[in-house]
Amino acid sequence: MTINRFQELALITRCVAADDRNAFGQLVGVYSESLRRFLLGLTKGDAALADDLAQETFLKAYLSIRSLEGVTRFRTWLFRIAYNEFVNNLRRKRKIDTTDEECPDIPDESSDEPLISADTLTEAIMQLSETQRAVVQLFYYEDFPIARISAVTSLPQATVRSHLFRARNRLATILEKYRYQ
Amino acid sequence: MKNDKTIQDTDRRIASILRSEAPVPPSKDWFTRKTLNRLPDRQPRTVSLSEVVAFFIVLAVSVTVVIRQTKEMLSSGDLTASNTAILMSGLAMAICATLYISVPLLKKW
Repeated sequence: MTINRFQELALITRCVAADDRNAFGQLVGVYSESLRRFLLGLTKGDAALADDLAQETFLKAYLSIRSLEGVTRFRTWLFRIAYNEFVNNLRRKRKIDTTDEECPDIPDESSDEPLISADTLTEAIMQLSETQRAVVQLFYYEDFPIARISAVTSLPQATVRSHLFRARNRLATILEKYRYQ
Repeated sequence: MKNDKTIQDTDRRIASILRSEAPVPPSKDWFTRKTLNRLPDRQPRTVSLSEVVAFFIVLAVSVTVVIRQTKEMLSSGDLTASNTAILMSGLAMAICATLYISVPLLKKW
């Protein structure tokens, strides 16, 4: 289900002006599949967690929809909330798991070693760090341009490009296997 | 640039392969319904001060229009289409503004 920009603005206006739950339900219907797919990738296939995070995302979007500025694309804003939900959930888990008093930041676990342990590109992506995985998901699955990925992840565009460059190099070995299939 | 084209081709291939391998979220027809059920209860719409002020301004303008048009029509004795249209517009404006401001107040009461 897709809608154009004007239809999207009309639905958002109805949500803001009249608290129209039907309009918000339509927005959920339009974006739930891609949002759940994004979160499914971030959570490495944990469908229950992905759905829970997706619902939290829509709930937060509903509560703060009045703060959405007109020029910001709803989709970008929604994915930003989803990414933040994922990060917060990860921090909560690590705070529970860790014995240290300080809550650790999400480390960039990636190295520059090319991945050779995965058979498919999807498996290879699951081995990337959370940040790289998010960038790759948004770029390759959701077709987000660099600027929007930067807006979603709050990373500078140069950092996004760097993550993509490193991910592309790491996927190159796997890609070679497809060349001969 | 050849290098840019190579990168674009690589990206297109990666995107195509990933989409074909993409994990599909399990079909959840109830997802939208469940999400909407989690939304907080609807709050009755309250009327803000700016809306009240705007209401009185619109009411004053529409009453003025109606009175002027009625006087003009009575003095000229003519019932033209434009006179009628302006009169009806003034009345409609007054009715709509009154409904807009009174419905949430009545619901709350």
